[in-house]
Amino acid sequence: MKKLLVSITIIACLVFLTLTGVGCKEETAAEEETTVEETTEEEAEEEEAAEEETVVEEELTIGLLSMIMSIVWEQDMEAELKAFASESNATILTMDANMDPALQLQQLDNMIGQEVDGVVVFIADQEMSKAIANKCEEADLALIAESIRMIDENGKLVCPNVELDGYGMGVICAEWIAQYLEDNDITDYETVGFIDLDQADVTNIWDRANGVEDTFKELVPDFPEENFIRSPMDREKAGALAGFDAAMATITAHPEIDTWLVTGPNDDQGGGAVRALEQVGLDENACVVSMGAESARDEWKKEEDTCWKAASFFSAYDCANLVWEGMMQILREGKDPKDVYSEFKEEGQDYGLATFTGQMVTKADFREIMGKYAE
Amino acid sequence: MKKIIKKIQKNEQVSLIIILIAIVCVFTAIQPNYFSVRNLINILFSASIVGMVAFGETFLIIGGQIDLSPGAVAAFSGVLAAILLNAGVPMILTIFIVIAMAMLIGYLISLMINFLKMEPFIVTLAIMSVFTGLAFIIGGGRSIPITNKSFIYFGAGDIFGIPISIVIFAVIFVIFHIILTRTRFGRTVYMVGGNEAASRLAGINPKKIKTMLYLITPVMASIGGMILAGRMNSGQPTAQSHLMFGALTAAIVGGVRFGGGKGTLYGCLIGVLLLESFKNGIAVLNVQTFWQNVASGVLLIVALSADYARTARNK
Repeated sequence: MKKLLVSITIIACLVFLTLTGVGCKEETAAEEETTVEETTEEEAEEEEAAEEETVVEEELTIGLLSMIMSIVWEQDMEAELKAFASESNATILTMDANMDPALQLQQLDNMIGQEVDGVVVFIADQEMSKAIANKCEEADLALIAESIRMIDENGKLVCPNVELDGYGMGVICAEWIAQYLEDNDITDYETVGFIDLDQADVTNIWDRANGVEDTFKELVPDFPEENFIRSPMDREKAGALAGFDAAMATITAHPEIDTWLVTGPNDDQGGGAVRALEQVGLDENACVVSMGAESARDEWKKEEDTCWKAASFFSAYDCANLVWEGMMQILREGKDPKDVYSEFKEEGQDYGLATFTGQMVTKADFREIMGKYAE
Repeated sequence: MKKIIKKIQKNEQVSLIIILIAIVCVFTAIQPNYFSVRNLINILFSASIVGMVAFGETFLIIGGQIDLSPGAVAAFSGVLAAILLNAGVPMILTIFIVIAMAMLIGYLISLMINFLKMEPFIVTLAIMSVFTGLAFIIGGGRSIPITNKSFIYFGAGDIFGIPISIVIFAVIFVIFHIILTRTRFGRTVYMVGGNEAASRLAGINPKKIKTMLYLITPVMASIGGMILAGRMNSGQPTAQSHLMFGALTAAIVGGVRFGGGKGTLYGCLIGVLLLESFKNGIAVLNVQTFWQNVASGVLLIVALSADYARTARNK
């Protein structure tokens, strides 16, 4: 009898548990069904909203008039702009002026012929800013300048601009080198030389070199004037060879210097200076800092020590983000171009000039700071 | 004195050497470090790459031809070498592949000139454009880092303190000088360049000579491109845009007649040294590089004018 009672109790418990379990499952299933139904409804609503939006947001074609597509910066800019465009129902049409201002004007005519909605311009010659702005105004095109500001003969901006603060880049590089001198206890400057690589015909590079010179001289006032050398680079040679030749010529002219500090306005040119220092066996004491970091990162992936100590990194994403934001404000929100980047607008200017700078990276931290650009 | 002046006027190379010495003296007076061992090596180092291509151009110009593509071929070669090395291809095989590719380019040019009867200027301009673009395409538009130490040594290393590129340059000069002055091929190059129709009547096959000539310059450009890539530890698509202008200027300055049929490799060598000494001097004096461009252009005009005057005098 006792056994029977225990068996009945166990069976009852099992049946109860089974029934409870089924009930729970049924409830969960029901809840899931409700959730799925709700989700499906939400999705449908979102899809509808998206469809409505698509109806409102017609497809845009944005022209990118590039000064020269062979530089890494412009390739990255194009890639970032295309990424933004793909998210905004837009396409990017790129044309490369290859440093030819006349060709760039012709390309603008072609873009107008192709009925683009707006153009992003990396101007080949600052002197033709007004001409480009006038053409865009006549064709009712939204215009944003990137990398080099577009100004008239009085220095007034002729459209919204996004520019790398070249001078500011030079400033942070010079600050880093001044700190390097302090950290390494270099105080006797008799045999220390500074090579500030420059190129007078490229405004932004000239600004970078000026930023380096002004800041370094301010931070290290005891540094001998004659040991600070602005080395002009040959634009025909381009890239690393230009930096190599300019640095080598300066090193040759100053055999009394055994410790060289070098700034390269571009990464490749900084790399050229590194090779020149290595070739003459002065790399051990040297410190090279470049701007861009796209080549320095490859150098830092090697195991060997290098005199390429740091680089200022600026990302095309930051620039493209500002450009795209401005362009969408004009084309999608109907904002007056004069009100774009208004937070950056200076007194006496009709348009805003949004600027961005970089940050210093070294062999120790470039992966962390540069993210996807480190690879 | 008059006799000496007349002799100098007659011998172009002597006058070029005098100009070269004058350049060295002037720059040394202004900047004593100009005449230092280190700087002389710098000059020879720069001269070696331009010089290799200039030797190829000298053969071509003497043969009545021209090639505008060596800069593009050099850049393409450097980038290709970097890609192959990074893919794990051994250095020797890489050099072999790149040189073979350059020979293929030269052969392609000769085919277009010999059989499609296209103008060398147009064909090589087109090839220049194609390979400038390809250098960017295969490298993704960026410079390609090189980590192969043997290859870097090939570009930046030295033998007893003399950079390898200078050694290669010297060896090439000796070989090419012998080919041009002591072989049947060298003599036929002068004949084809001087009068193609007459050389054909003399039993020479100008097409065959042209084919061989068009193989030389791209091969020289590819070697120069690889040396530069080794020196810079990277293959750079923009690296050699100046090469064609420098090589042509050096050849013409060195007394190679632009119309073909006349010139020496020795003259070309002096032309290269003259040009590079001048450019280096301006750089060492820290003069803005615009003046380098102006000076190179003026030098080319002066050399072409002298070439024209010589031709007119001979007629």
